[in-house]
Amino acid sequence: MREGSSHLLRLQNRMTTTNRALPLRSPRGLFVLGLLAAGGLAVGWFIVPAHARTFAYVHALVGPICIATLCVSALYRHVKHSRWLVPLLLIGVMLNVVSCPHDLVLTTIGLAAGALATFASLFNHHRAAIAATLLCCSAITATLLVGLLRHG
Amino acid sequence: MTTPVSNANSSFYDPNAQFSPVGGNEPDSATSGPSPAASPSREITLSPVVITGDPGAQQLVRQHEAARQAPDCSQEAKDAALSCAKAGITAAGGSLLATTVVGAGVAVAATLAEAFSCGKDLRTYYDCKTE
Repeated sequence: MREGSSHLLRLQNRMTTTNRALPLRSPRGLFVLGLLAAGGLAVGWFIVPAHARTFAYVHALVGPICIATLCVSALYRHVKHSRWLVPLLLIGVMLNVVSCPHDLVLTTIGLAAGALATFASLFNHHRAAIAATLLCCSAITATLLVGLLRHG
Repeated sequence: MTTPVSNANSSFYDPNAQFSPVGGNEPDSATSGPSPAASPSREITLSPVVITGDPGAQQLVRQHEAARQAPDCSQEAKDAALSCAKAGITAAGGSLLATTVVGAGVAVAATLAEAFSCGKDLRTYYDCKTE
């Protein structure tokens, strides 16, 4: 009886999370996000030098880690449309290896894990999707760092 | 009064003007051609000729002009398009997936990182196009 009510409560929490007004979906949140994105564009245009190594390291670390956090959180909480958005974000992470130096073995592992995460997310296998997302983002981060260290 | 043919301001080619005979002798009439007094028109009819030269120099100049007009910025354009597409995907996905304030912060951080990269690559492309 207690176990059943616990399951029901967890399900209710997930449903509440799904239908809750998300912070960045409100007009104010979208405005702030757009403003920050425009500011980031301006900083990248005017301040960041073309071959800044520190920025390359920060970019290789921050992007995949933040996206992995977002994807795992969304998969765990069953956020609405997460089964489509997680593969989209993972494709964005995997596109990092196109324009940056990378290690072939780690890139292969990352791409394979990304493909697995995509299929697992699309077919609602949440645990597999979470594990594959973590592996994909770790491998992509590692390959970018190794590539930067080698070609430095 | 007619204008003299050997005018100092005239720019036509006069072979007698460049010929300086040794000892003040007059040039031979057989080699110096007709004198101005004999043929006042000075018109010479040449048979059609083909002028051959080295086209390599002209081609090099043409290639240099073409290269200066349109620099090859295709790689920079690809990088800028890719990083800006990633920034758009991150912003859209992050805004839809962030469920909490912490999640929103993470989405904002990811969007900022990609926006920095997009701005840097756009600047690189702009510099390539304007150099």
